[in-house]
Amino acid sequence: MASYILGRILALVPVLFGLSVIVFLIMALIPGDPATAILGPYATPENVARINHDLGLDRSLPVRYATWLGHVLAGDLGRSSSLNRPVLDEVAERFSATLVLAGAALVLASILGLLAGIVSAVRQFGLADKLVTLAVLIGISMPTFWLGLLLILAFAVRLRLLPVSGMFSIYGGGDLPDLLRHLALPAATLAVVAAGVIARLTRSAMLDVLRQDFVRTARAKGLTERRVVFGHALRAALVTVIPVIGIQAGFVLGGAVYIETVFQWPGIGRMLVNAIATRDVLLVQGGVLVVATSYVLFNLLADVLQRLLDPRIAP
Amino acid sequence: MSSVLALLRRVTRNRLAALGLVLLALIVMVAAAAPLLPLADPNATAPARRLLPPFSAGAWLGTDTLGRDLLARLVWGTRLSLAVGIAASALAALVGSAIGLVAGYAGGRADSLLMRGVDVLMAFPYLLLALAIVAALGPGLLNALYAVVVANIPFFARNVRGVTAGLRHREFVDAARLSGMGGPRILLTEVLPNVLPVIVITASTTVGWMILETAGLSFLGLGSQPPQADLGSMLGEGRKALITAPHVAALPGLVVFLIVMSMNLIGDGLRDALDPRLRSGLPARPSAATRVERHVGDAHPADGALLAVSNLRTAFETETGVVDAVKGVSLRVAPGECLGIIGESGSGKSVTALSIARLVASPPGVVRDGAVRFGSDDLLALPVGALRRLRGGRIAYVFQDPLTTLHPLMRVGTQVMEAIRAHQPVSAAEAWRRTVDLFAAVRLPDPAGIAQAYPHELSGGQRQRVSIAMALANDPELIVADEPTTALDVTVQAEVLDLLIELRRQRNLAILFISHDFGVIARMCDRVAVMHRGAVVEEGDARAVLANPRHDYTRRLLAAVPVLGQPRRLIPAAATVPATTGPGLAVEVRDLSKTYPARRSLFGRSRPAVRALASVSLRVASGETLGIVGESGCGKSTLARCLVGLTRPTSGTIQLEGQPIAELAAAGPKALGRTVQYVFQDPLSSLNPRKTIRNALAAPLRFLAGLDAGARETRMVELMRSVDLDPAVLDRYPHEFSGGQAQRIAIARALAAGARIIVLDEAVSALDVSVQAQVLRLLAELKARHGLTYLFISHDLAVVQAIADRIVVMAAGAIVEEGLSERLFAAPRHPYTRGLIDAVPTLPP
Repeated sequence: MASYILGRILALVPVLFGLSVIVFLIMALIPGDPATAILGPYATPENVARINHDLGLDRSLPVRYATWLGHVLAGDLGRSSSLNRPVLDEVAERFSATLVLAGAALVLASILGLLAGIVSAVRQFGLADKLVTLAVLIGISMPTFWLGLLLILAFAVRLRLLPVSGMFSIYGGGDLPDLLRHLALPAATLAVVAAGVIARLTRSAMLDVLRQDFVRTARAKGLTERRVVFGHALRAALVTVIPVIGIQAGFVLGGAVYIETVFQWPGIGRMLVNAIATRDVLLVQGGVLVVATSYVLFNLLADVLQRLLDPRIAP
Repeated sequence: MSSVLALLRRVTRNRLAALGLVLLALIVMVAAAAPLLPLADPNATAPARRLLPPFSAGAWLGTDTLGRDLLARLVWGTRLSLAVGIAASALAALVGSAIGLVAGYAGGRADSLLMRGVDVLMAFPYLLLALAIVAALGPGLLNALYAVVVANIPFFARNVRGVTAGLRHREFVDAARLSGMGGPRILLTEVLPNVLPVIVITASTTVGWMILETAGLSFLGLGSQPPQADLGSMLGEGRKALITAPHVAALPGLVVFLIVMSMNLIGDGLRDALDPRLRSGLPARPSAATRVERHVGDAHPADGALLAVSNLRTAFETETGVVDAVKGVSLRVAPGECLGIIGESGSGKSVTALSIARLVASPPGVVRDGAVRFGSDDLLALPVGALRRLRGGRIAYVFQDPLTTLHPLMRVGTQVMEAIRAHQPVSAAEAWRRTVDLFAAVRLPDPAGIAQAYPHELSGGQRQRVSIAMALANDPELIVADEPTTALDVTVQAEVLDLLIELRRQRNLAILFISHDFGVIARMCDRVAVMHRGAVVEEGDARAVLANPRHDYTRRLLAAVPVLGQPRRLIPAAATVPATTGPGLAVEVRDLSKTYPARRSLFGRSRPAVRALASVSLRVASGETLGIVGESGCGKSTLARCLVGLTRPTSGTIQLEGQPIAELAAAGPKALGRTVQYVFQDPLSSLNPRKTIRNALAAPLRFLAGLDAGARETRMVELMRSVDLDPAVLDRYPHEFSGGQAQRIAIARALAAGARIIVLDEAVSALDVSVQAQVLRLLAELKARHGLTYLFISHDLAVVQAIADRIVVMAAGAIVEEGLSERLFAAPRHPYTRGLIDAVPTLPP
């Protein structure tokens, strides 16, 4: 097991390398000249050349990449031009807010999706199955940014049950119940699509497994139907569902961009959208790099979990 | 075109998909007709008419924050969103599929390079990659489109690559190569048609997302820029007036939702229509016990018999109607007796066996009539709870393939323990102790260690011993064994049969033993029932039935069984000319070795090098049939693939008709394909499922023989006649043929370009015994007629002896013995050969 994890970590090196190259290139190839942008009306050729030299922009791309990577590895993501504070500080603060939101949504989606999928498979063609199938269809077709607006209208504006937006109340907030009240709507909205996908996949994986030979063996042994379904079939079905939950984590992280905008959640998605609008290159770069790296590490976790469940996966 | 229509018909049979299609068609029609419709100018602002509610005069759906007509904006916005989403989908499908096809087909370095790149793209959370790209390119609708395309390429690339890589190793691709087709042509005409459904399915699942994501980027202000407006940017603008005028944001969102939902509905319908597993209707979950629908219960007591099956009818309910698999079967098994059921595939023998404890998957299975008496119980009338207590308790099962019948993720010991605890109230520790004892009783080496193993870590023979231990767990009175040794090598089979015989004696077990192999039945059973088309045609003492079959079908079946020591039994001497060995050597193999290199990973276990062939030398005179026998893993298939150039040997030389194979191969596929051809084990997998038989036969005629269309037609008719098939069926697809017919087609294809050396790799092993005899006879005739040289590879000694002039025996990659057919079996010199011959179950003399 230890060697499996070590091997997986080593396999991540090229992926992380490629990822850093893409992040670097995207920002390096941005059209427009930063020096001219900084200098504005003072952009004489001499000034431009001096700025370019100061920023290291007159050197070759590989050299610039190596310098940049060196800084990144040392924990220096540069300074945000629009916020005038270190990118790392801003990203860390915003990303933790996103993790709260996305984590809650993923847990919610996994629980709901697995339960709905299992019920739907066990009661195939029954009423529960039909309801789940309909709910799944609506869920996976839902524009979440629209659903968020509708939920705000219903629960916050009309019913006044939950706060409209933000992460904490401005006055007297800050404790856990306050956070949960603010979290309820955005997390539920963000969970909708992922729950649909997980439910659908769990259902088909369960139905597939229930037709396999080893399930017939379990029945031939005289096991109770409960044990056949939950002991034998579910266990085999989970092996196909877990990687999908890993993939859904990426969709949830991405979807958080919309939800944070709709619910004014102070997360990294909203930060990125604002940074793009203000052309704050270093902030975008740092934000994308941190989120993508954490996603890669999360998938490593999903792989390890799958390996624990499935001894057939070669080390 | 007609296939597209047929697909459409299948899709719309799904009512929800039809609904989606209608909905989407409506939306698309309105959007397409936008310039023709009497709509207001979508961009004309009117500050005085801001935020009018729906159904206002002059603005059916009201106006937005700038007083623009919402209906007009909605129609034009839908038009833009649809166009962008569909364009993005098409682009992503094109680029992603191209990457996947090339990576999957080329394999090796190109594959790992391309897929590494895709992995890096996949490492970004989906929307984040799109955001980063928009950040670089700047906001704008076209840039948003590119971003969404790049973010979606990995889905296509991965799905298509997976399927393509799977197809690359399929036998029909090898067959196309041997028919003289080049790489790009195979990719486009053989592989692509099989990949197309995957591309369509992936496109249908992603087009909805792409519309959603482009709308989302516009919603964030990163997509379409004012005054241009798609549904997403309308939603974004409307958000500002959410509380005062919710309809401004709600309407565009609703349209996005309807578009995406209709596309998802169509996508589901397409997937159902294209996925062959779903084609015969949705797979239903099998219930705990087979459904019983009989009119009257049976009242006969079992009087002395342990098991009495009377007038059993089991059927399958399919889309096209009810198909009877078992048609009124009656059987009796006395305590301690072994009854065999023998029959060919489709005879209903397995369904009969499964019906006893109601283990036939249901739906579609249903028991329609009859009774199954076990002791005093009628199993067909028993409630599921009572039936469950019998299953694994007094009646236990052993199935055919122990790899798929054991749970792949549970330790084998746990699985046996579970069987014990399902029936006996013992502690886990006690159950584990008994499990280890049972493993010792079935003579597994290191019982305690094996109990901790997972099924995939054991050999086939060990796995079957585990299954037997599991069956013995609760001291059953009856074991139903359904082809328990069919998946095993002949020497392992002999050991497992010995074990069963011994256990039966020790424990006074009754066994119902299902097999297609007369030798196995003769060895195991007291009595035998012969099944044919769902009915028992003959039943009696096993030796008596085998020695003196009374029923015509049994007689024909027995006559088709190859028997060791009776080489002329299947192929009458008149059908063949005496071995006309020509002047030259057809095949000369010298010191052929093949080593699959070790795979080392930096960490973890590394696979050692596998030596598949170790310095093999052999010579085959032209016109001779050389038999090559050996058990699984002996290297016989590697040798076969080397002989036709499908596998490159590590060292050694092969000469075909005096020419080195390396030279033939260097001269292009033509020279090699005209010299040597290959017939695969599974005829259906060696024919492209999406191409007609005409295509399969035309390929070698066109690419190897270089015939024009007219000449090809004549030759194809000749070929079909020569393998006793009606030329009228040329335009049918492989799945419309039986295994025997498909193998005849494969043989015709091998003969098409006039190659005189034919390598037959287990070519009759997948066939039923009567069909096998017919194909063997056909092969003998063809050889005599065309002066062919055969290299006939098989695990079945009796079959090899029936057709071969000379035989080599292989073990562990080397030839252990070689000799003329009669001599080798009469007086084997090597102990391995002797062991192999002794292990073959034989018919009573």
